[in-house]
Amino acid sequence: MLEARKVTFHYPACAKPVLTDIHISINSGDIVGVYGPSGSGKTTLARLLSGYLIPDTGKVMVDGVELPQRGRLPVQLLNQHPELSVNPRWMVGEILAEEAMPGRELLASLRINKDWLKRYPHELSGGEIQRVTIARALGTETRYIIADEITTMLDAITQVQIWQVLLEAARNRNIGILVISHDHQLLNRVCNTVLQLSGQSGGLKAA
Amino acid sequence: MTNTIVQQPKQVSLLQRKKAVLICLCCVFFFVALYIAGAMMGDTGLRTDFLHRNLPPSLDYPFGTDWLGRDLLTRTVKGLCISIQIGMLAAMCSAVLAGLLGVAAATFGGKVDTVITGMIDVVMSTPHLVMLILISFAMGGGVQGVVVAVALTHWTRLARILRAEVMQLKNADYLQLSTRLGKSKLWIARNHILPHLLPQFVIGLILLFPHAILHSAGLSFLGFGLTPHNPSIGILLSESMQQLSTGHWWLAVIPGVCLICMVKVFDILGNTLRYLSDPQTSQQ
Repeated sequence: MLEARKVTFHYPACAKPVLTDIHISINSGDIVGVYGPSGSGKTTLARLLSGYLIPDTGKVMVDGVELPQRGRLPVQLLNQHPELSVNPRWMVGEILAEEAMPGRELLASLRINKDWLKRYPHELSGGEIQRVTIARALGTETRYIIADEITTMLDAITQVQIWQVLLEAARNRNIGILVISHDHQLLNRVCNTVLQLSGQSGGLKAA
Repeated sequence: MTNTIVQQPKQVSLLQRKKAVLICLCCVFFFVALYIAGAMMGDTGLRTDFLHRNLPPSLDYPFGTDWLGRDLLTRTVKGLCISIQIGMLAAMCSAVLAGLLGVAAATFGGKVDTVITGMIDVVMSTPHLVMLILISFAMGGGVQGVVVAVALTHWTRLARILRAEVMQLKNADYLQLSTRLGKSKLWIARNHILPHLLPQFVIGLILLFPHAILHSAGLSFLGFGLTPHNPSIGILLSESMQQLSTGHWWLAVIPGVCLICMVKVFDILGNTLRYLSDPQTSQQ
């Protein structure tokens, strides 16, 4: 179980906390959606849960242990801007193989073309890079995925493909997924539970 | 139909890439040829020969001769070779300094960064030539004076570029992600950071050559650099000043034009390499 316990966080530039006393838990194989208006702290929550930010108070726990600061994290974050999470001087093949080359089936299910491997990220579209980052994030040691608005800028067909792959990963590999989105319909469709993050009180409620 | 539209830019880019590689090779060939020519030429052209004084350019003496009857072609080629050597030495010292300080400033941050950026600002805000003259004079002139002076005054811009590059990389998403994939700091430095810094460094180094060469010539011209028995371009130009009023134009014009040409070739080489090293431009 990936959980945040009484997590409070504020950015250095602003004294007022973005998130106050947040509780959230995601079970293995569970798909939890978080919905909230802009600026309510959705991305902050995603970055806290995946270890990119450290909470002021409270803890982020993975299977009963505090989220480690070093080594391979079982929690992987997928970004709204995939082009920022790939090295522009690496070819797609190198990007995919940073940990270990994903299996053929995964590449095929994400429709990652073989001739992309010899291309640089700027030669792919946003949706194509997003699929590459998903393939990279689904390494064997990954147990939780935080998907922060990952399909917001994609066309409907690519969205479907991506969610099929992620839902399948949740089903077959028991990966827990936190889905962050503005899109109610998407959340209702893919998630088992949907929570609402409200900006003012900073709390999470069942939507 | 759609096929041709999609494929066209690819072919153009390949052609441009080939052209860029060719330009680089031509530039390198130019320097190698110049260097070999300088080494092969004997010292006969450097000897005084009062029978052939002040001859304008002709078939026997393509660059003419000076007031002591020395062949200007030999002196110019040898002068350019000396300039390349000094320029390379000075540019390398300068680039290494820039690399160390720039990366240190960005890596350690805090006080180290404040001190190094302060140093950069001070060096950049002092008039170049004044610094060059002072340092060269303090070092007692000669080759070491020129090299130290040029090295100490030219590192700032490259240091700033490298500092900015490292700072940007430090916060890059893909570096943070790499840590979360369990990669060590050393692995990240070698595989993520170095491939970004190395091209910047090499190109910065090459683009430093022209400055180093011009400034070492300038220092020699002003009398603070090399001694007159070294036929460096700066010395040639400085000596020719005394002969200009007597109408011996070739003594100043020809070495001057050669110097500018060489500097320009270095500049082209640096800029073409920059174009090639960036996947964004080299693929377009």
